[in-house]
Amino acid sequence: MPRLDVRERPALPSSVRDLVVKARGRLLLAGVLRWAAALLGVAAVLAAILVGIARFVVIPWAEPVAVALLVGSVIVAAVVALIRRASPARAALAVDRRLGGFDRVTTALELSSRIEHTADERRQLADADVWSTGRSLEGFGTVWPRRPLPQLVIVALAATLVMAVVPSSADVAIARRQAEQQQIENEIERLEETAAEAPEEVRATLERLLEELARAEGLEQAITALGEARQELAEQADPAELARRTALAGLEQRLAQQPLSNGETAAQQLRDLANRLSDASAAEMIAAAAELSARAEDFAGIDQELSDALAAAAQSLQTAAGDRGAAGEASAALQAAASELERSGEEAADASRRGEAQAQVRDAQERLADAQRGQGQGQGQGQGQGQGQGQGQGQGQGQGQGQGQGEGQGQGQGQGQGQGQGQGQGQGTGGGGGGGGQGAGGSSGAGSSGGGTGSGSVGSGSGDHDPARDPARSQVFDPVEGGLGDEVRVEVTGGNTPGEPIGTVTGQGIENLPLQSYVDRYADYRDHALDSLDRMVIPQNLAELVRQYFTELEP
Amino acid sequence: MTPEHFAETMEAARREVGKIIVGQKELVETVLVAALCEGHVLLEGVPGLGKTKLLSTLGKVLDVEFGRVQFTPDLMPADILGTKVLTGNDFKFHEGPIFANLVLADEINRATPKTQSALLEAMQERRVTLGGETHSLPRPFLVMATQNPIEQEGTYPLPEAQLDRFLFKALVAFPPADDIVEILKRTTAGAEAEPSPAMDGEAIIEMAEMVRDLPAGSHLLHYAATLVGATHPDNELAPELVRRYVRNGASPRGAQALILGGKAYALAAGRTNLAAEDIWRVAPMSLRHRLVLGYEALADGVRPDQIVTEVLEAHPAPEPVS
Repeated sequence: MPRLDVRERPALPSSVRDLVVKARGRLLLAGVLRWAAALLGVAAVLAAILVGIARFVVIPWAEPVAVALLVGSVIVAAVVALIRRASPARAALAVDRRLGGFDRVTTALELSSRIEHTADERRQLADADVWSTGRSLEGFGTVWPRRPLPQLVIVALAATLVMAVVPSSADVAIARRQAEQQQIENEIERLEETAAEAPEEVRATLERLLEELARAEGLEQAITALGEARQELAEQADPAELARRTALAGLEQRLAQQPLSNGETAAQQLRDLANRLSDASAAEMIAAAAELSARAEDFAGIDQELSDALAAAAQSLQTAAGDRGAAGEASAALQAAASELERSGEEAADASRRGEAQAQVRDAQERLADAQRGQGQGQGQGQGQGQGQGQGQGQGQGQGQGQGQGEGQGQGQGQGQGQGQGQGQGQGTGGGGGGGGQGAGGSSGAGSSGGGTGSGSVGSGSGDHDPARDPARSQVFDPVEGGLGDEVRVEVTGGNTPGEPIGTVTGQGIENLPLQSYVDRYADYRDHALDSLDRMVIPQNLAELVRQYFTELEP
Repeated sequence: MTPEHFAETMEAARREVGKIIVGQKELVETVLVAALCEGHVLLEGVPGLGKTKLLSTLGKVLDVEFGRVQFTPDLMPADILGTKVLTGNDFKFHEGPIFANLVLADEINRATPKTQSALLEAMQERRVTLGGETHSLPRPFLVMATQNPIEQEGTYPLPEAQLDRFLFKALVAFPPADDIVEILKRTTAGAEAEPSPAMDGEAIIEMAEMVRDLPAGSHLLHYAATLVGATHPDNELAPELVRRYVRNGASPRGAQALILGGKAYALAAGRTNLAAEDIWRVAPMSLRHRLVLGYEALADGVRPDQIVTEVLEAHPAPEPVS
């Protein structure tokens, strides 16, 4: 039979053509439904199995794959049904078989493809026309698949839906994992900013850390990576760095109060002194030499090169005071001391940035560790009773699911039972404030788990002491930023007879001590201490003791 | 002639045969259809079921020259075909009883195979060759044979080649009690009815040509070929029963019988084309005598009709031709 479309056969009676076209459409619809039922049934069973397994084993892609299976099966069914669409001849045969056509339609369809017809063939075509005229597809058969396939599909779909919607332990685990990933990503963002401003050596360490964090599959790995990075940064640090920074700060403070020459910084003063040395008086040179000699001693053993440069400059100045011809040499020595001072300052700045980076890493590790503890406790709590508690002292914010506790300033986040102390610890948000020796804090929490849901009560706490308002603790001595007290001379007595003066000792007194805000200094103090903890190998319980100490001191 | 006229003529013939033959409607239909296909029919049944009566009645209804040969073990081919007889100074051919439009070969399986084979050329070629001379048989030429079941005494099985030449093989069943009562009424009291002719030789030829011209979809030709192919044990379409019990399947003449007989049935029903239903109807009578069953079938009591039924169930409907 030539491949002539059923619509393009002039000899085919229109009634026959219409009947065949209708039957073909009906068969297509039946095919789509049959294939859809079959494939959807298979897909639904597979999806149900997959989702069912995912209730016990964490399979993050289970539900997306299940949805893809179901959608894909319907699409494939439609495509397959279209590809396998009944031909006009098959549709005609179906009409003949199902409607009792005695092959009238099929034979007419075939005869219509011929150009010429015999009398018998024309008679056949006319007979087929008469038979097809006004005939509907009633009795052609339903388009719905045979039972029990549709019922099985519905059952499988319902099972899949129920298992996908009702939360399971695996769903909780997936949510927890997503939360972990989010927390890790947050820390990555923070550390990226830190790495951008860090010295080269520190930056390399941080970049390796960022790569490991990006690959981390959970908090455990992230915390381990952060710990290793902390160790590496601690090894890079100079143990004498704190002393140098202190000495440099003392030098700057000293020269700011008692300048040797013009200039905002110590190095600028040295350079200015070197430039106008020819105009300086001998007394001025001797005074400067004494000052530089004293400062050289401060840096002895801390930054020996700077100490030597300062000592050399003091010696040159002493010489130039007696011999004006040595002024050039003294000027050069002053310039060299200024350069050493700048170098030392730059190194101190680098060290400071390293310390900041180290602190950032430590904070990140602690935040993740807190989150990890909170999750573990929260899970157990949620299953049991789903309660939440919160406590706060002083100024603090905390929020958590399950039980949460917050102390001090800051915000913390976490799930389940969490405990926050100090900055960035604990979970949740809350509000609290106190005044006049009274403080109130709060936290709210809610816990949920497979076993039930619970809501946390808003906790409140009271603080009996506000360190920020305590006169005894509100101001602390800060030699780094504030310099030292006024110089005092103390006569030392003794010797052979009581009260016999034997000499005079000059030192820094307690009058006019530079006091700074305790709240402002506390964080720096704590950071330095915790940095030191990182560099030292000490028992864990002792490290905890130190941390506890700072917690207690927390304003 | 139109299909309606064809159907009316068939109905008239049925009615006239029915005046004599009680019941056996399927058998009458089969014989009439075979006649309108110009095909030969083999009737099988135990003696006394009216086989001969049916065919002799048919001869009257069809109103054609009727010849009857009673096959016996001592029947010779010349007794059927004819012989040359010295007449004056020349041998002249004297036609045998086969030179008739409707030949009744009664109890054909009582003759020897040699005599049976004398019918071979006549049935297929519709001519007789004797002494180097060929004599055409009249048209229509129909052989209506009866045979007793092979298990009976004094019977010779027909060779496969001869069986194949019969368009149909019909089985004559024992009539039900009501039909026997009716037979008794008709034959044991009063004068026996006389059938009237419903058609003649020309009408038969015209109807036979109409049968041949009836449109048949190519899907049905393929379907007939599929059914015949499925009767062969080595054919991939053959069902299990065929593979196990059939030694030789039906020949292409079986497919011809399916189509031709189906067309005649379609016209008899007043339809204008062959249908699968017609093929299903003629399948048993067209195929049963063309199957050569093995000894396993004999041992298990498997009949050819079971094989045909199995084949039809394996291929229940025609497929569209691509």
